[in-house]
Amino acid sequence: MEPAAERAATRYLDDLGRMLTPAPPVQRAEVLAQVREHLDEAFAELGPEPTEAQVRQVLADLGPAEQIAADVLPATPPATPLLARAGLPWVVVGLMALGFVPPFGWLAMVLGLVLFLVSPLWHRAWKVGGTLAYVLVPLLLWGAMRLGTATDPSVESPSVLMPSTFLFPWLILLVPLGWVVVAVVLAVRVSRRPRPTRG
Amino acid sequence: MVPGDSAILANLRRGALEYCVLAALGAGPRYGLDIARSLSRDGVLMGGEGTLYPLLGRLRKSGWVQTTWQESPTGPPRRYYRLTADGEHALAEFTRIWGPFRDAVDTALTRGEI
Repeated sequence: MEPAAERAATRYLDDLGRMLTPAPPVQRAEVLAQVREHLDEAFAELGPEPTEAQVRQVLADLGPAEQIAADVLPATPPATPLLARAGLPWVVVGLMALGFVPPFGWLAMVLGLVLFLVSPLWHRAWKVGGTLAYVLVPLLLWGAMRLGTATDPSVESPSVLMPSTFLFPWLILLVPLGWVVVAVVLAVRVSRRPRPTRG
Repeated sequence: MVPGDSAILANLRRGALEYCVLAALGAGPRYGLDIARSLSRDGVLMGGEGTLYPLLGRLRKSGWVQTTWQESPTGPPRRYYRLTADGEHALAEFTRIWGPFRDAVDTALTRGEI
């Protein structure tokens, strides 16, 4: 190969080789060999003394090394933020379920609620609905408890806000259970939502 | 934002170019520079000849093309690419689907309906 063409080919291949450093070694070597063969063939066609313009044209037809490298190296997908990971809804469900565990289960429940509110996985309407459900479930049960207390003849003063002996165990069970049910419903809705696909 | 010509072409090439490479090999084995020139002649299918080689590597890895070495009358030995049976099958499938797809796109673009 004529020295000017050889220098141009070497420079191009050096650049391409550097850009392909992150590629698997076998693939990198294969592409470099193919491009080398392409250049050898193209310069051989030009005869023993190609002009500078002809050499430039061969490289221009080949295209920028960056373009080849971009086709070899897989596009790096943008990292998914922690609060948008697919598994987060089930983490929230798990934290809600820990609400059953005394004495500090409520801390996990609060953390679950905070994650639910700050995660971008849920729409605003779901957050509002979910939070209302979190508040309404215990409120409704508390109302039922008061009703039970008021009608329980074993309680002397209905105005005292103490649960009846009948309703108290159910309240303990149902409030966290209601929260977990709400969390599961919201998690399932997120998992069924179609996700954007990459081209 | 409206994508430019190059962005639209890049998207369209993504699904079709590998089959155009297979089609270029339909008549028999060819070497890289020969394939590259025939596919990049009008600048529509390939922006630069070099983008052929990563594609050929993927086709070889998929088992759709094979390579052999042959002597060249003008220079060093050439690496020839040829279709495998799987490659021929893939090309036939794409060709069968492409016609209705192209017609549907044409209809949608020209009449605004499918």
